[in-house]
Amino acid sequence: MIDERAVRLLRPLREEPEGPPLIDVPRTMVEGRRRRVLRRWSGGAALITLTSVAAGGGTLAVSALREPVPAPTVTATATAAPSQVAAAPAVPTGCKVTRLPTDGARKAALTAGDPSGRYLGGRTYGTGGGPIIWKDGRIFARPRLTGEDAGLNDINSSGVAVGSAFLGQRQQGYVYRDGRVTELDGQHTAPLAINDAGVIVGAIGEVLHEAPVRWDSPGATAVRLPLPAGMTSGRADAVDEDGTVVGRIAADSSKLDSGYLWLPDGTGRAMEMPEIEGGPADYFWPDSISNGWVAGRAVDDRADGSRWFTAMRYRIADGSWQKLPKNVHPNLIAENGWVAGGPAGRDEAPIITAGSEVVRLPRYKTAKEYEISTVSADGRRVGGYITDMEGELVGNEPLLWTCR
Amino acid sequence: MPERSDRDYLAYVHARVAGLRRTAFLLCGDSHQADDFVQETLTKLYARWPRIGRVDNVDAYVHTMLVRVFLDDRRRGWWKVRLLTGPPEPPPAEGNPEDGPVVRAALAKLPPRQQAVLVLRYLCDKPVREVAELLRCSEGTVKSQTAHGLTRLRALLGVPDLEPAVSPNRW
Repeated sequence: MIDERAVRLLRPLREEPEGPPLIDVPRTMVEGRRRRVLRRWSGGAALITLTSVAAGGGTLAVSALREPVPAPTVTATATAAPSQVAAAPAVPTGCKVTRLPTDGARKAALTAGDPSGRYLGGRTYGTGGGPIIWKDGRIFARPRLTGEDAGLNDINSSGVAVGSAFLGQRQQGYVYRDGRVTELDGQHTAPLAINDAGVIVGAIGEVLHEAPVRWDSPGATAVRLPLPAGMTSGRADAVDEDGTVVGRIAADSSKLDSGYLWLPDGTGRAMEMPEIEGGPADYFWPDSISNGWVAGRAVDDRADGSRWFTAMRYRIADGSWQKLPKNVHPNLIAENGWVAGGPAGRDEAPIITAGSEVVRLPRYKTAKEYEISTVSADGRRVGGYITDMEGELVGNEPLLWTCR
Repeated sequence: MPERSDRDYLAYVHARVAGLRRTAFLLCGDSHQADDFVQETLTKLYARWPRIGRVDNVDAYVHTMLVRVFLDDRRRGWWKVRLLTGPPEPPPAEGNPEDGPVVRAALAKLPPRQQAVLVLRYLCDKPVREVAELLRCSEGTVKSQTAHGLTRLRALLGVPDLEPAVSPNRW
């Protein structure tokens, strides 16, 4: 049944494009033929193909990529374990990629990983599909979460996973532990992260009224994280091993949100805006937290209506910012300061940056589109999936990259 | 199945380009960007054309590619994202929810998949099952994304969630 009110709501957009189409059909054939050749003969070569969308629909933020690299030094912070940091070699080497088993499912995504790199979580699609947990590269469990679209968001080094499913319009958070699935306390819950101490963080409340929340353990009561005056919505995205929580908050859900920290001592603070080209950023959107560092994107909304991103990391101890050497997304920071980054462009695989060094991870078969979800504490295991849908590739396949 | 020829490709493009451009335009609200999206989609299509004989439903395949091009453009953080289309002046946050630019600006604030779901369902009039196929997700996901997208869009536009059956007098 079609919702007439929804049709009416969107009706003002029911227009026709202006003018004649400016599609250069011969160019689609020239460029398409070139891509056929590239695919056939170059395989995994690191060729950067700027697509016509990139060339015509937007400009690659090359300035950010080409600027001198600030070489984020790995520094022991107040919460760091100096011996681990000192022991980290300069760069990951010998990286390999493997596809994880999927219990017969052709399509599956890897969406969660633990600090040890042993436990990974995700979901399979199709008949009999649902959440899946891998341990040491093998299928370890198939938790059954009641509801539609069940998926896992995070897992810790003890194999305790958090995820959610939809019961009608209501999102329900779950915990998987030792073969059992239990509901998280609260209504409309979305657990997004769990640390090795079992502290879970995420969002609670209906859409548009989501608030940051913490559960001190899988069976604990939901505790809303305090919001500063004037702020009413947000969510907690990630939790460090010392209990520091990072998320995004906003005055209300129609406003854009920005990074906020809840510290273990019970206080909170808004993340200061980093200086980017031409002044302070407008927002910061965190992707990850580890060992006293937060990594994510600075957002610059310009007067012409365009939005620009800069990949940055932030040291909680002193509030200092460093631009990351590659302007990618997401940026998943490891305990030793390495950052697993999403692909730098179409036709590229994800990367790991170690200081100013950038290591490109190998591609999987002929896949060209990658998403990453997790990095281990030592920065040597990166989990993710592909989103290609051509040839023998069927949409999503779960991948694990391992390096020495 | 034999390889499809360039002649077949040109015939296909000639027959379908207007429809593709319209869908692209409804997705992004900008004629020039719609052209860019179609250009990229057709380039991808041509690159795969010799093997396309294996695909049962070429139209669905091409529309899936188009939606993917749109989502990629919206998701990739390091592209310059066009937040607003049309005039450079941002439309007022609280404008008339029956004005195209106001609705388009509100829609642009939704996550890309929610934008795509709402456009495909309510502007392209595609059923849930077809949208699920285009987005390579379950029908449940389409429904939940639709619900979330509509709720958020109404909130952004200041339209009550439970509007009376008869539209209230706006004066």
